[in-house]
Parts: sequence; structure tokens; C-alpha cells
Amino acid sequence: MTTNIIRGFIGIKSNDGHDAPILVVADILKKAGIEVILGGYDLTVDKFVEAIITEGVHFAGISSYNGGHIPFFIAVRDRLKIENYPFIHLIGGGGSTISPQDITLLESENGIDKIFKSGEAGLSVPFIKDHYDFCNVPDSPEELIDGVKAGNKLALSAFVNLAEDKARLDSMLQEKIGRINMNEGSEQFNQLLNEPLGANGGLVKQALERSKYLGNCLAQLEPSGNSHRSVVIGIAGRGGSGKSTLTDELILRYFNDPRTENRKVAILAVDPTSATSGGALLADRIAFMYATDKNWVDTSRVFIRSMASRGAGNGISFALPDTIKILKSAGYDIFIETYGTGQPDMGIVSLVDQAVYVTTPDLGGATQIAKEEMLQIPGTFVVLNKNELQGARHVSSLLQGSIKQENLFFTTAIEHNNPGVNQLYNALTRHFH
Amino acid sequence: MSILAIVQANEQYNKSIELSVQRAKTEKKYQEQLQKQWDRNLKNIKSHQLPTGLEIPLIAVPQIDHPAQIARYQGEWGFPGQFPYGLSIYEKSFLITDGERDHEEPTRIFAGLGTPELTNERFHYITQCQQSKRLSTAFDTITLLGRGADNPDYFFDIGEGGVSITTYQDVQKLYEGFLDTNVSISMTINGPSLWMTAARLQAAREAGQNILKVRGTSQTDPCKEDDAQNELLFPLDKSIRLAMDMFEWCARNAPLYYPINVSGYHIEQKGATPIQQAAFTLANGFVYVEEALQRGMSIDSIGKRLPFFFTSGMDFEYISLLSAVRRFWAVAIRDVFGAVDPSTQKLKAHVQTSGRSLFEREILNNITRTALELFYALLNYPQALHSNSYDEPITTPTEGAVRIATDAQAILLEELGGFKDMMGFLSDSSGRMKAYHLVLEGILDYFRQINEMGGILQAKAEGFFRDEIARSSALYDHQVQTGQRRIIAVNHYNEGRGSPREVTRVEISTEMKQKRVDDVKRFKSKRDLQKVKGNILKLQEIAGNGGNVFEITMQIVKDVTLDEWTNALQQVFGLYRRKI
Repeated sequence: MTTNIIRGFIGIKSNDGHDAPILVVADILKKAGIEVILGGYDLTVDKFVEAIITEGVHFAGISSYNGGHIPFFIAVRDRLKIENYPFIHLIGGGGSTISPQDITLLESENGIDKIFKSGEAGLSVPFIKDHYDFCNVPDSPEELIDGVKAGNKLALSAFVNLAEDKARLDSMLQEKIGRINMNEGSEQFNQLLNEPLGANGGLVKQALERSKYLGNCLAQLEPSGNSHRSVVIGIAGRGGSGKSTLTDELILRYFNDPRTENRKVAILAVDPTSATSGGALLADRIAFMYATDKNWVDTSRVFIRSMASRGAGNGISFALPDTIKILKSAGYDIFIETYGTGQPDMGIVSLVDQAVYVTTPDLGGATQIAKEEMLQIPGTFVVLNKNELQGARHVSSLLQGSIKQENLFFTTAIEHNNPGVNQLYNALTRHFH
Repeated sequence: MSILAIVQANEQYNKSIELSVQRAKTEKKYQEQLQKQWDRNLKNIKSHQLPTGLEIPLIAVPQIDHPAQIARYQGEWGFPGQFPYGLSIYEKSFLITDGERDHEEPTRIFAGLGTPELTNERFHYITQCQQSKRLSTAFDTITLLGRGADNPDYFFDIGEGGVSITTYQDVQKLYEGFLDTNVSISMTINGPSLWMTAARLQAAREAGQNILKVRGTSQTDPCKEDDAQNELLFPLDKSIRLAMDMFEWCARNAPLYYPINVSGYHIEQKGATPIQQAAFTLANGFVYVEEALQRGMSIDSIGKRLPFFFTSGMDFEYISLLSAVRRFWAVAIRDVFGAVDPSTQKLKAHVQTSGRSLFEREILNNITRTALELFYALLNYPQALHSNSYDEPITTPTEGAVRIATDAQAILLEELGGFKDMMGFLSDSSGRMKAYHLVLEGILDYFRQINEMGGILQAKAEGFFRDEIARSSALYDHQVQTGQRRIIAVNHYNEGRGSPREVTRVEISTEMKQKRVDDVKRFKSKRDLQKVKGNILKLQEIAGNGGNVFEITMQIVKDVTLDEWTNALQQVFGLYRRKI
């Protein structure tokens, strides 16, 4: 089968804030073409396991400096076994506090694949590429359909992997076939079927079959049996505008809202794929502090998935439409965060019930506002975040001139219980009735 | 606050030195005046006898051939104890005359391991040979994050890297035998500092001590947490408010206690250069000064209660880092904030050798590194001093390593001819002058940048400090990896060198961890839960309406545990949003 894109989750264990080693590793992995999901620091066993499952990763890395690492590694391993996770590939590192004796103990007696010593971060890439099998797309997705309908997170995650794989194959095929412009069944087309696809893509024929097959599986998903309709909210805006923080604050309000008591929510966070390496650094999870903390929200009703754009240039990933379909069939409301690299994140608009565009006081003058395409779409909510910063008054009066008052919000997302965020949440909830 | 005013005051001061030197070259009357002052200073200097029988003055002074040199010396450094405190804030430090010490020894050794009981034992061990008892407490991360040892999610982490504290009873056990007011206790704690300080003060009160006389320090520096350490419990602005609640309360009720310790150490450990450490830490200090002034406190009551904490590392700048920081601070405090009382202008500092400079390979080399960093630190005359144990790269310090680290200080201060014999014996050396000017200019330059960004909090919000630190950290790593920065036996002369094979590591056993869980559970179950609930509501109400959170914490700390206190306030203030 075609080789998948490698996905890994890395984070720092609970009660540990030493983030220097993991930032180095994240950068190395991204540059090696790996999609690396950064979980941040102070992650409990629960948080590690939850992230590994919903992110559908091939391996996970645990960084530890403060001590207590041996039982921690073992606990993560055991929990993944209990949850029947198919890829229990744990690696680790963090510094000299993991002694040579500890390394031996973890590697030879406790099934931890590899502990990297300080200065060995560069060895992680060859190790990962040599040791792991990256085909975590299930062979027979039909078996997963009942699991998806029941909302089983493992099945959901596996199905999203499938959707991502389909999107990957489709865009490779698109590139190969689209350029030639031919009819299916023509001689030229049949000839093409036996050509290789990409570096590791197998033959065109196989990819086409696989894509069709995956498409059929996705087609078997039905809308959920819930009495309510799933609501899809899209949050777009440039990088650094505070989209992730805002999303996290909205999720907190969602769980404090009695009207959503029986509902479940998914966050799909899209970050860009590196054009040079094909890897990606997916770091939005770090900002989802409330959404991943069982002291604040019912995490059993939250499903978070980080997605790399994989070549889609409009703020989304090509797998997004199918992923929305999967989560809808499991009855989830969905918050989508686009990656915003300065280009208009227009891809999101047609996929959602409500588009939200987040901007900041450094947006620029009147001409810049006229150029921002998302601002021109009627009904889009426009949020001026970081409203406490210099320049906010100028930009807010410009926005007031061009956006309807009921669609315009002024927020300071980093402030707890910020009134502007409350207003935005209330405006969004009209979709929940 | 006007950062610009601080910049201008320092620029002005630098200019005034040059003016004064010029005048001393030309104005006869000024020359006479300077010479008279100088002679008066010299006359006060006593002599004493060295063990070898030689007679030397107690204070080192340069040989003066021209009054312009007097103007330079006094403007740049000042006599020990004189403005701008370049040499020292006190007239005498570390001297031993006729076998008697002038001041308390600066030694303050950081310790904390596992349970309160074990740590208490360690405290007794460390202080057995000290004349004055000065403790410094390391807490485990569960405690530093305001959590409870009984939380099953965190069982693995109990007691790792420091002592685990959750209840008032834990604090009593931790400091048993040290609650007398002549013992100074320092606590490295930030997010939960109000709870911990309240518990420590109440424990002293319950032991029959007068809180008015309690001595010690709590770190409580939320600004540097935001810059480097990542251990805040509440958003930065709320964390600053809580710190100031305690600062204000202590000024009235525990006037000998230092509730805030402005810390550069963690900024440096995160990767900052010496100059970044100096500049960002000073900036954080001015944040607290400004906040306290806004609460109506006087600059005198602020300046006297705001000590600092810096690293002494291997870099050249450390030869004069603290001296430069002291001068920059004193000029601003006098000329911007109008403090005339010298004791308000004097920046007091604790210094610690650099943990980042220690390596696992050929681990005993760390003793040499630490000793040299101590020497650099002492050239700057700090008020308190911690020396790292050589085994810190791999474990919580073991007992033997702690002993060597403590002895190193005594060897430098009591055995080596120098600090014990003559105050400032190398202080105004040419090399120190160069380092001094480099650091002062570097600080000034950062303050100009901060001013351009609209102020300290604005610069922080934009991630300026964090970005600068990250840049330096990456550079440092690169230099170590490539060998551009020589680390002996690590990247140079490293053939055949290895990591220690047999190293004793401090192990926190599962039984010990379980004991912590049991102790906390027992404490919690024995309480009147209605009363606890009522206390928590009271705390939340005061937090919500802007009242003094420290005052209410003092009232409830005996039965509201640390984790309950944290959770209650997080409900009101929200979580600190982490930056990475």
C-alpha cells in the first residue's frame, strides 16, 4: 500500500515545564517531513492518551526532565493498551535526569522504543523512519462504521486518518491526471493507470482503486440519529490573531451552557504544511487549555484533531469536508480553526454554518480592510481581538463603518470571562436552537 | 510609568561623571573639595593584621595622582556603601578581623526533597555548621503549580525535585525547629506564594513568634514566570495584583519579611545572556515599584523590601553584573522615584551559581566551575549566596555534594586570603570597569527598546522578552554543539571522557509518595467541611471584588489546602495562558 505521511505527537509530562528540548525536536521532525503535533508541557497521562488517540498518530514522544519518568512512561503505555490503540510506539528524552540505568529499564524491560539522550535529538528522524510502519489507515474501514456512529473516539480518529489518506491520494491523482485532460476509458488513460504515482505512491491504478474504495466507505456514513443538527463554526484569521485562544474560550462557554448539556464538540485545527519539507508543526493544541482539562470541561465530549493543510492553499485541508461529515455522523458540533497565513481563508466559508473572521488592531488602514475578502462576505462575524492593544480604536471605527453592528465583536480573548467573548458566544448559539 | 525617565536619568548620570571629571581637571576649588572628601574617607579606614603578620587596611582604595581620578572613582563606583553602590551596598562585608566576622555569612543553601519530614532533616544537616541559620526551600512542581499531592493524576511527580507541600500541617513539619525569628527562611515559590507565605507566617505565630519580627523571603515574581519559568496559576495581571496584595500587607504587618524577590536567575537559565538577565530583571523590578506606588505606598517602604536574585555564570560580564545592576537601579530610584534615603536606593541581591553551566560529563569539573562562579559573584558583594552541587545535572543534590558546595563558600570566604582580609581587594580593577560599562550600556539599550515598544508590560505582551531569550538560547546551544563555546571535557578535550557510572541519585520511593497522599487525605478528612466551604466562598468573594487576597488567605490557610486555594481563585481569575 502507499506510504502514508508520518504523524507524531510530542509533549512534556505532567508537572514539568522544561520546554527547550521538545522545541528542538519539533523543529527537526518538521524539517524531516513529519507532521508533528506539539502538545506543550505539563501533560497528564490522560492528556497524552487522549491526544494520541484523537490525533491518530504513528508514534508519540514524551519529554521529561523533572523526574518521575519511569512510572509515567509505563502508565501511558498501559493506558494505550487498555484503549486498544494500534500504534503503541513511544519514544522519549528530555535530559540527563533520565539515567543510563533508567534508559535500559525503559527500553529493554518496559517496551519503550527509544530514549534519546541530551544532544541526540538529531537521531530521532532516522530512528522513526527506520523502525515504524506508517500505514495506519485501517484495511477494512467498514468495521469502523458502527464505532463512528456510536461516537467511539478510536474509530472516529481512524476514519479521519482514512479521509486524510483519501485527500492525499486525490490530490496526487489530480496532479497526475488533471493536467492531461482525458476521458476515463480512453487509451491514454489506461496507459496512465500503470504509471507510478509520486515517489512512494504505488501505481496510479492502485491509488484510484483505493480512493474509490475509501469514498464508498465514507458514503456509508449516515447523518447522526440525534434530534439536533450538528453546528459547524469556522474561525479564520491571520496567524497570531488569537484564533486558538478564542476557540478555547468558546469551548469553555459551550460547557458552561446548559443548552449544550447533551451535545458533543469537536475542534479541527488546521496548520500549514511546509512547502519545503512536506512536514508540519501543528501547535494549536497548546492553546486549548480549558478544552483539554477535565477540571473545566467534560473531556469525554471533546474531540480535538490537528490537521496539516497538505497543499490546500485556502486555509483548510482537502480532507476537511469528509472529516466534517464523519464528525457530523457521530453527532458532534464542530469548531474549525483555519491556519491563516495572510491569504484569505476563503476555503472555510462554504463548509460552515457560521464563519468568524478574527483580526487584530494591526490590521491596517481602510485600503487593507477593503482588500480582506472575508470581510466582504455578508453574515460573517468579524472579531477585533486583542482589543486592549494600541491602535484598536482606529481599526474599530474603520470596521464599524463597513460591518453591521450585529456581526461585529470586540474581544480580549486572553482575559477570563471577557464580555466581548461572551457576546460572540451568545451570537453563535442562535445556531444551536 | 515612564521608561523614558529611567533611560534619561541613567544617561544623565553617566554624563555627570564625565562633567565632574572635566571639572576636576580644571577647577581648583573643586579639586580641593574632592581631595578633602577623599582624605576624610581614607582616614576612616582601619588596619588589621594578616595571619602572616603583615598589616593591611580593611578597605582597598586606588592610588590617586590627580583629583580627576577621585571624581571618576566616586562617580563610577563610590566607596563601599556609598552611591552609586558599584562596589557594595555596605561599607564592610565578609571581613574577618581578630577572628570575628562583621556580618552574617552569605551562605544560603537550597534544599527540598520528597516529604516535609525528610526536608526538615536536611535543613538540620545543612545548618549544623552555620553561625546564622538561613534556609532556602525547593518545592516539587506539584506544589509550585498549586496542586494537591493527593491528586491521582500526579502521583509520579510527588517529591520530585523538591518538597511536596499541600496542607498547613505540612508547612509546620517542614520548618519545625526553624520558626524562631532569628532564622531566615527563603521560599522559592511563585504562583502559590500567598498561600505558602501565609502558612509560614501562621506557623511562626502558632510557635509563639511575633510576625512583626519574622524574617525571610518569598520569591513571588510573576513577571519572570511569564518571561521564562512558565509556572503561573492565574493570568499575569491578576498574578501581579496578588503579589502586590501580599507586598502591601507585609509592609504593615511583617515589615522584616521580603514578600517579593525579583529574579533574573530563571531568565538566565532559560537562555538569556547576562545583559538580558540584568535588563529584563530590572524592568520587572520597576513594574512592582510602579504597582506599589499606585497603591499609595511610599518609595521608601517599597525600595527597602524589594530584593533581587541573579545568576553568577562563566561569562565575562558576570565579573561586574551585579555592580552594574545596582548602579542602574540606584540612579533610577533616586532620580526618577525621588528616594533620598540611601537604604531605599540600595539593591539587595541573592546570587546563585549557574545550573546551566554544569554538565554531566566528567561531572566533578562542576566543582571547579561553581567555585569560579562563586568567586565572580563575591567580587560583586552580594548579600546572599547559593552554590550549586556538582551532581545537579543528574539528580536532586545528594548530601555529600551539598556539603562540598557549602564548603566551597567557606573556603573562599574564610580560608582564601582576600575577601576576609580586605574589602574590595579587586573591586575597581580595569577588567571589572570594562565589564561594568558593557553591562550598563547593554541595560540602557534594552530600556531604550522597551520604551519604543510602549513600556514593560506592552513589551511582554508582544513577547519581546521571551523572543529575545529564545534567540540567545538557540545561539548558546549552537555554540556548545559546535564547540565555539568551549566546555572542557564536553566539547573540548573530550576523548575518553564519560558520564559517571556509579552516581547516587536521590530516589523518592513509592512508599514515600504514598505517605504524602495518605497524610494529605487524612488532613482533609478531619476538617469541618462546612467551614472549609464557607472559607472558600469568602476567598472567592474578596478575589472578585478587589479586596486584599493575602489578608483573607492568612485567615483561612490553616484549613483551606493549597489545591483548594488555587482552584477557588482560578474559578475567579481563569487560567494563565501558557506561552511556548
